[in-house]
Order: sequence, then C-alpha cells, then structure tokens
Amino acid sequence: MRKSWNFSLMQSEALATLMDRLLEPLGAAAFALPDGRALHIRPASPADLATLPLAASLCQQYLRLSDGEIAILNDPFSGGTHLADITLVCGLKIDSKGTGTNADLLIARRISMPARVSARNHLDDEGVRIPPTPLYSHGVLNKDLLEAIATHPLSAPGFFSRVEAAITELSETARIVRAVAQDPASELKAQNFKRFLADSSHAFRVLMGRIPLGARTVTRQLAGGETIKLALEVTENRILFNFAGTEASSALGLTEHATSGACLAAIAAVMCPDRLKRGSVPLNASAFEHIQVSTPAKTLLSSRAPSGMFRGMHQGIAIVASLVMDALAALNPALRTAASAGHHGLLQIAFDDGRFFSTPIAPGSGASRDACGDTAIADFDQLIKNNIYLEASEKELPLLWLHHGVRANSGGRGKKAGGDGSTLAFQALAPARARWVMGEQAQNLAGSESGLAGLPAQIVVVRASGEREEFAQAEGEIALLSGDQVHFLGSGGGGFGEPPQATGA
Amino acid sequence: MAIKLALKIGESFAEIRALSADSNMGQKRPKPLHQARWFLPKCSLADGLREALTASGAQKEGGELYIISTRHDRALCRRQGLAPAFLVTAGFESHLRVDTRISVADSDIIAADRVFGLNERITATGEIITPLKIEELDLLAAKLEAMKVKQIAIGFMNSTMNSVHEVQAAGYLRERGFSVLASHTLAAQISSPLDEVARWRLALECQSTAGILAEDLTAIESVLQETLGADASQWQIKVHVIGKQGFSPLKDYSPAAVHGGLESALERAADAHLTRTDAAYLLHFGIESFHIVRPSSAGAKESSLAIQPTTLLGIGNWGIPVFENETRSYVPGPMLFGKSHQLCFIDVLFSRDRLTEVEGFTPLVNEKARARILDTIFTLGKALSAETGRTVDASEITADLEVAGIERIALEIATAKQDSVILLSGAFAPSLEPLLKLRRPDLVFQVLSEGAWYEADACFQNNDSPQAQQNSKKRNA
Repeated sequence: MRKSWNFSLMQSEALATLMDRLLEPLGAAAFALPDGRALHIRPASPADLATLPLAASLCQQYLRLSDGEIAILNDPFSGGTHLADITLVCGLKIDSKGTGTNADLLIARRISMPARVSARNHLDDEGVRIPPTPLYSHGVLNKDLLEAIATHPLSAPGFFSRVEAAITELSETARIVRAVAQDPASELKAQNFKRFLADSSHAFRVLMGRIPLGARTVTRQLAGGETIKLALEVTENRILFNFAGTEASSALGLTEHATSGACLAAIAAVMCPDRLKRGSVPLNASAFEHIQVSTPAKTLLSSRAPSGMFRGMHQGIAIVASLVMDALAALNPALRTAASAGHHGLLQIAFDDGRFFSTPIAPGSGASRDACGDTAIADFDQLIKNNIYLEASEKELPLLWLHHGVRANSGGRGKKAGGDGSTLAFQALAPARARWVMGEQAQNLAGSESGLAGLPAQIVVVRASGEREEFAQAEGEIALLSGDQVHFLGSGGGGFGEPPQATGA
Repeated sequence: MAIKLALKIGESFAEIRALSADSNMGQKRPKPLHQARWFLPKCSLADGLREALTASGAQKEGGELYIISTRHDRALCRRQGLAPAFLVTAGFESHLRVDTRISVADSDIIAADRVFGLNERITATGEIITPLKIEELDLLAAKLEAMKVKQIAIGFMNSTMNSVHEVQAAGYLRERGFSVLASHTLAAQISSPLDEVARWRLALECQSTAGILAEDLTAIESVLQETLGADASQWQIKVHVIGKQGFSPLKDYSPAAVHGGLESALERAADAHLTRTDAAYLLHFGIESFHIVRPSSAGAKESSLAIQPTTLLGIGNWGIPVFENETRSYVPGPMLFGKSHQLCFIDVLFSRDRLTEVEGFTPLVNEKARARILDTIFTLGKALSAETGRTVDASEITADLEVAGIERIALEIATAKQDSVILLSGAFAPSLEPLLKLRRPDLVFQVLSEGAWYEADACFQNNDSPQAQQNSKKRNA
C-alpha cells in the first residue's frame, strides 16, 4: 500500500466515513471494541455517546457474544438510557486470524419506543427493565423471551414487531460489515483500529483549539432547590468537568455515562457549530481520552435504582449540557447563546380502553451572536423525530387532530431571533388521561445581550363544556372526557441582541 | 421500418439514440441509426431533437419516442423550482415544517406566505365534519390572482378516505385558470401507500417543477408539430414520458408519475440485464449521476452512489481535503471546463488522466484547466503541508483523493462474492472500470456494449412485458 504525506489521516478519515455509512441505516448506533472503546458513534441524543459503548462492553463481558449473536438491554445501569430506549448489541468476528469464537467488534444500536413517565419518578413505572440478555443466536430469535416482554402491561405498543424488525436490520448490517472486513483492501481491519484511534485523537486535539482555555465554576439551582455545580477546566490537551458539590434529587436523575455524553455533546457543539457537519467531529474513544468527567456518588448525576430515568435522560442531559455552555461562555463571551429548553417535551395519552399514544414535542432553539435559533429543533436532542402521522393515528386512536405545526412567534425577538417551538392540539373522542413533561428549562427562556425571552411551554385544556384551564407546570396529568381539547404549546428559544426597531407608522 | 427514439433530458446534457424498432433490449443490437449527446447551454433541446428526427429517418418512417427527464428532479435539489401555493386543512399549515422527513431543500418549496388553511375537515372514516365553503375559495382565488401565483397544490386531511373537498376545490380553482394538483390523485397514481406528509410533499414537488417539465415537453411538441404536422392524432411518432410508474402518453402524463423516471428506467433495464447475465450489481456511471442497481426478489432496486461525478471537494474537520455530501451542476461547469473554481470528483479523475473519450463531453474539456486544478489541490493541502514539514506534491493529494472516491464505490459492492460479475454502464464506465479492477481484483467487471448510452437505452425497456409489470408491482408494494 502506497504511503504518502498524509495517507494515514486520509485512511482514518476514510474509515470514519466508512463506519458512518455502515451505521447510517441503523439510526443511533456505534461500533465498539469488546473492551468498551468506541470506534465510531452516531448518536441520536447526547446520552448515546457514552452509553452505547458501555452497553456493548457489558454485553461482551457478561454474555461473551459470538459472531452474529445479538443481546438486548434497556437497563440504565447497564448501558441503557431510559426504559423506552431499547439497545441491541451484535457481536462480530472480523479478524479471521484471531483465535477463539468471541466477537472482536461490536455494533450497539438503539431504537426508541413511545416513552412512559409517571408522577412518582420511579423506574418501575417507566417500563419493563431488561438487563443484558441474549436474544438472537445461530439465526434463531428467542421469541418466547420477546413475547414475554411484549405482553407486559408497561411494554410499549408494537414492541415485538419493532424489535424483530430492528434485529433483521442489524443482522443485515452485520453481514455487510463482515463482507467489508473481508475485502483485502478495506480499511475496516482490527490491525488498523489502533492507528485510527491515534489519528482521531490527533484530529480531536486540533478541534480542541476552538475551545477557550481557562477555568470557571458555574452553578444552577433546579426548581426543586437542588444545586448542580460544575468546575470546568480547559487545558491544551484535556478538559476537566468536576461536578463536586452537586446534590441529589428525587425528581431528576441520570447516570455517570449519560453525564459524560452531555459534556462531550456540548464540547462538540462548540467545536463544530454547524449541526449538519457536527458528525465529522471524531466521536469515539479518542474524544473521551481528552475529557475527564467527575460525578460524585449519590448526586443526581450518578443516580441509582429505583430512581426514574426519563426526566434525567432528557431534561437532565439538557441542563448539564447548557451548564457546560454557560461555563464556556464565561471563558469566552463570544460563545454565549440565548436560553432554550434544550430538549423535547413529551405528551402521552392513555385511553381508558388501554390504547396509548406518546409523542415528543420540539422546542425552538436559542439564538447566538451569529445565527437565529432553529425552529422545532432541540439543541441537544437533534435527531429525535417529532413526526406525527396524523391520518394514521386518527385511524388507530379515538382522537381528532385540531392543529400541528410551528408555534408562530414563540421565539424571542432579537438581532438574531430565537427559534419557534412546535405545537399540537387534539380533541379526545373517548375518556383518557393526558400526561405531559415540559421540563423546567421550558419555562425560563431568557434572551441574551438584550434579546427578548422565548415564550414558555404551556398546556391549555378546553373542556367540552367550553371551560378553559391553563397549566404552566413543568409536568402534570389531567383526566379527559370525550370532547375535551388539549393544546400543547412548545417553548420558543431566546433571542440574541437588541431587536430591530419596528418600522412604519 | 419504424424507428424507436430514446431521449434523456438531463440538467446540463441531453442524449438521444435511435434504433430500428425491431431491436430489443436483451439482444445484440444493430448499429444505432443515430445517436448524439449535447451540452444544453450550447445546443437547445429542440435543435438536438430536430436533428435526430431527420438523421434517424424517424420523420419519414414514424415510430416511437420515449422521454426521460431528470431536469425537473434536479431542479428540486438545486432549489430552482417555484414555490406553489399550498392549500391545506386549517390548523395544519405548518405540519410539514416540523416534520423531520422534510429536508432543507424541500422546505424551499414550502414558502410560508403561500400556505393557506381552509376550514374543512374530513375524519379518518371519511365523514365530513366541516364542509368546504366555496366563498372561502373565492376570496383565496382573488388573493392568489393578486399574488400572480399560477400553480396550486392541495393537501386536505384524509382526502384519500373521501376526496370530495379536494375535488371541489380543484375544480373551482381550475375554472378560475389555475393549474391545480390535488394530493389524493397522487395516492391513486403511486401504488405504494402515502401518508399525508409524503402525499402533500409530492404534490408540492410536482407543482414546483411542473413549469420546467412543461417547458421541455412543449419544446418537444413544437418540434414534432413542425416536422410531422399540427395534428397530433395524425403523427406517425407516438410519444411516451417515463416516470416512476411506467410510461405515460405525452398528452396524458401524470405529474407524479414522471418524477423518478431515470431511476425507474434504470431498474427496468437492469431487471433484464441482471437476470440475463446473473450479475451481482449494475453500476451506472452516467454523465450527470452515478447509481447502483441491485437485484432483489421484488425486481432491481436503484440507489444513488455516495460519490457523484460532481461531488464537491472541501476541507473536513480532520483538516484534510475530503469529498463533501454536496454536488454541483455542470453549469458553469467543473474546473476541467475551465470556468469554475470549485473542485469536484470529475476534476480529480481528469487530473489523473483517467477520463476516456466521451462523446459530447470531451470537446468541452479545457486542457489548460489541468494546471489550475493542481494549483487548487495544492492550496487545499497547504495546511497539512505546513504540519508535515515538507513540500507536498499536488499529484500525491490527487492520488489519495482518487482512492477516497473509489472507496465510496467499493463500499457499495463490498458484499459481492469473489468472481461476481459487476456490470458497468454509462458514459464514464470505461474511465472507472480500470480503477475498480485495481480496487477489487477478485471481481469481474464488464462494461456493457451499449453502456455509454445506457440512460437512453434504458428508455427502450418494454414496460408492457408481463415480467416488467410484475416487477413494477412488487417494487411498489
């Protein structure tokens, strides 16, 4: 093989492109080595960044996956996030010279099912907890196991068919990966991974040049009174995130790995502000070499069972990431952005006959010095799909959609305007309970540098009798009767800079 | 002797090929009666067609003309379509804007000031709960006339369950002189199920580029009228437009069905080739686009390759030159035409002397551009040159970029087993064959004899054969 002036870097970039293309059909997914070092991560949420590789390594450690075997998990303390996110880990043996039958490469893939949250923030209310469990071996799917999970009352609708389809897709990707690895000229070889990670490390260090040097401590008090404290220190080669002083919370909890993912996501957003190109920041083990996250035990950033995880994996992640952004903006004011909810809201409707519907609702993002906020895109949940299939859901559920789209003028005005949030409204055609989670950040959407605040999230219920009820709580639940209407108004992002004066008479 | 003509209208190039009507796809063809490829900015579509009708003898002999156009599909990608007015059930005016399936390019055809909500509602069972009011349409029509909007797409909720409101609105607005496309008609034309987002988007896309397609088809009609007489029913040449769903007569083509014509034609043609030769894949390297066609139990399936002839080069986050996900058009041209400053894949191949003679393309190449291309590549690599501490030869970078481009093709054929046959077609197939052979010596690459004209040839694939119809049904299912 010809070695030219920068061929190593070009090979490594080509390998990153190759892995990205291989994972593309799977959505949120990662290639990882059996020791847990990630080679390439395609995240849907910041939590995926550190949890997908962890899931892969724990499956390998406990289950010793062979080539083609697939395990399932959703346990937040074994590499999962919250219980509606199902992780599948597939073993691959790509080094034909290696001894033994254990996998030498792993693919972890995450699929999102409709989420459930409860008022008491208890893990057992959020779904069925699945530890790393073998599911597919020697071409045979353990249908009994899958059926048993699917028939649990808290299992998501369509669980069996979604997981079965996801396994088929994962097996097809594994087949292609194996074929690529067998190609003599392919870069996807076990012997190239060390060089690849070294080159990635080099590329990440170059991008770290965009992060301001120095140290700052920032704190934030949550609605429940708990404090999150971050001491950030950026040196030439390393970024330290020390959360000592952070308190425990009964309302919000996330894991150490999810916290690490939130820190890395915020850093990546500064390294590459263009979200369409952000995927080209090397997101693998080399990135984690350059960051060190310290989360003291018994705090809300290192929760333990039976604490619920849904809120932490959405609101908590966004809070941590925005705290990192605050610290970076304190080091360099040019990085300051206006506030946004940072994560999706959630609306779930449980009809009395057992039918269930759950949908994320996107906020608008905050504006920055150089750009307006985005419409209906959460800063740190960018790949979460908030699509609603209106006609299909009307066919399946006793509801009538009244509205779905952009909440006009919800973004704060400014020299650069904040992004508008999304909004939906429906009429229940049968008794149901509607539960919403907006998150506390969806209530305080301050502008920056004289920019105006975005509109906060709000729930409006119009009863069949015409009576109107308004709710601004971060979350809540209401009983609906047939004919009642629910309007969910997603939050807008804050504006940046003084708004232009209105012209005209 | 009746004559079959195939015309492919691209974004920048058009090509035509005329064969005797006795020739069939799948048999060794006789010499074509006429073939030509031309650069549309230099020679109009009408002029090229006029010449072909005369040179092939079709003007005297009669026959059939098959047309594929990619110009209107490309116009969407380039955001060159018009934003039509969009009439939608009130409350859902911005439903498409928050759907993550709608890309930035798509959002360009949904101009917020041209979306109008109408108070009508039909339920999922087809029951009318809010009747459409014609008075509301009357006001709207006046507004659209004032805005000088001509094209309208209509997307009402549950219109596939009960189309009465879309039919009423479309009828009323057509009477007022608008060009209207109701979304429920697309669901009937496309046999795969369409949810409201897909249906509404397709209606908008069709209306957005209807003008571009109509312009080309009008030009073709004018040439035919001029050559064959004004009365179309007397023409000896029957004209078909090819789209996703097959062939439509020129006078009766459906807007949805003419989108995706090239992809559909490639699949139909590949169906015959892949079955006949037992080949693993067909790689199509056309002048304007590269595709892979894979066999499947539901008939051949086309997808675009990750590298295209005009994929742009940029500096990635790793600090090295990389191919981006963006392509450019041939106007003003790649650097090798001597007019642009943006490097693309075809420039890399040119600078490596990989391009073989391609009719209609080679005459446009400016040899003086070679030095400028190498200069540009050198500049791109300058940053790394400083880092490595030695002067970097631009030819080294071009060699590496060529490898990077070929790798993107190699990935697509990675699953091909040893000794598999990979068919190559398209104008650039002879240029890329040696590079692919070098990359995958274990595979057998075979350039199709008619490969250089494959896009045009694909038009000839008989849509009426039972096999084609069966595959078409399977694909759409």
